[in-house]
Amino acid sequence: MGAGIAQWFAQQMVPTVLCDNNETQSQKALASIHASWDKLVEKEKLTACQVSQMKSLLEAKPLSATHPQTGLVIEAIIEDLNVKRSLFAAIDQQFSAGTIFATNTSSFPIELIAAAVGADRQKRLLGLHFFNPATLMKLVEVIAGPSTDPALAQNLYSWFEKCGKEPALCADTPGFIVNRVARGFYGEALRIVTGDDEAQFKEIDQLMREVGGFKMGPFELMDLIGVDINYAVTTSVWEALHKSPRLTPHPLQKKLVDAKRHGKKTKRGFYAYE
Amino acid sequence: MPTNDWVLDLSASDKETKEAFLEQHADKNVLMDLTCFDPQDFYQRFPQLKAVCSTLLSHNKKCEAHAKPGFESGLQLLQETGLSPVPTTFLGAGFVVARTMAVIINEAFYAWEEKTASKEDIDRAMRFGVNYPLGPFAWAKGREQVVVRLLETLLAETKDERYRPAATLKATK
Repeated sequence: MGAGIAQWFAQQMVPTVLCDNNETQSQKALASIHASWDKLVEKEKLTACQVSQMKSLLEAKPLSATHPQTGLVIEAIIEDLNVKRSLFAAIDQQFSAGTIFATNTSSFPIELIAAAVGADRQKRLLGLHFFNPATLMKLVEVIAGPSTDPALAQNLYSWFEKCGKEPALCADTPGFIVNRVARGFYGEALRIVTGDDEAQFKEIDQLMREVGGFKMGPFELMDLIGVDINYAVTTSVWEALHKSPRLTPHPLQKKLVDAKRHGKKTKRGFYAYE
Repeated sequence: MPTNDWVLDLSASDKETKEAFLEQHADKNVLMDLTCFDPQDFYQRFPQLKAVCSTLLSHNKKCEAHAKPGFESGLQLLQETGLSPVPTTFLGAGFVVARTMAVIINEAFYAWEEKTASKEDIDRAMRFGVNYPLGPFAWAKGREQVVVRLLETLLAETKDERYRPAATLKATK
């Protein structure tokens, strides 16, 4: 996801550095971004001149080699609270007092991540939750933690809006907006079916597309996202919201996770894929 | 079958009014919107009910519909009113789409109540983060009490707190 975020920033003509612990990985990501820009030139979505400028603005280098006066650092690493906290604690001294720190976490409270840095930095740390693919999906959840300077969150919200994103300002609550409100899309479908029955999944998917106007139905979407990932998000939001009955995970989803029916990636989820 | 043998009720009335309507038209074939109630229960109790549909939370003129075998022509009535019926076999309160949307709308109200975000930002997040055709507040606008009635039916049927309506949703007129 970090590569998509970096690509989007460079497309806004913002000087951007892509960092990864593994330098080969960041070089690979850079090459893939260049290739995607070249394709956009072929399709006449961007001009060669624009792409040449974007390429000059985006570089890949180790985090330790980035400029201390960097304006904004966005973390998009593994979804592990301790790893994220260690990273922020390690870079707190590296960057100037004015640098804004942001986390792309989809599940951890900003407050817990902010606790890893000094009190002054906490005012300049917030959540910026992008959606995949970051270059296409317009939403950015701008999450102010309890210590975040509200003006900072508001300024970033306005800046994203100016750049064509559709930001949403939200409080530091479990699942933020999307991962909480969307739970019913999957959870209710799981409660409407009477069992592990592909014909019922198919009918519900079709009704949600045709009558509901959704691009995908709940079962096909869970298979695409990963049944395991969807179940993990449901469980995490449910636990964080004090096991609210409204968000209780469904046994059928657990059954599929246990059976390694994780969706398209394992060739079997709610549907079978060949 | 001539459509003048049919009567149509697409109202958002309460259960008693729906039942009275059916009793009043015992000699006709009735097509009724039962978004907020259990269609199976109504089919069993009222033989004159030949077809059911769910239009009350539709946002695009499409609706789920079901007719008893031999009475499929009754669904033409929906087309005559400008609606496009899509056959469903899920005959429970809220069918599929309205039931799912009621739960999503309710959670959006709880999130707003808890000051997670403004209504505008919640709608925006759902449209641009997960491609919903409408945000939950825009979807519910003017139909909040339909959502409440449906949730209360589901709550009474299942005794599952999952369906308890948010106080702010209930209070929206």
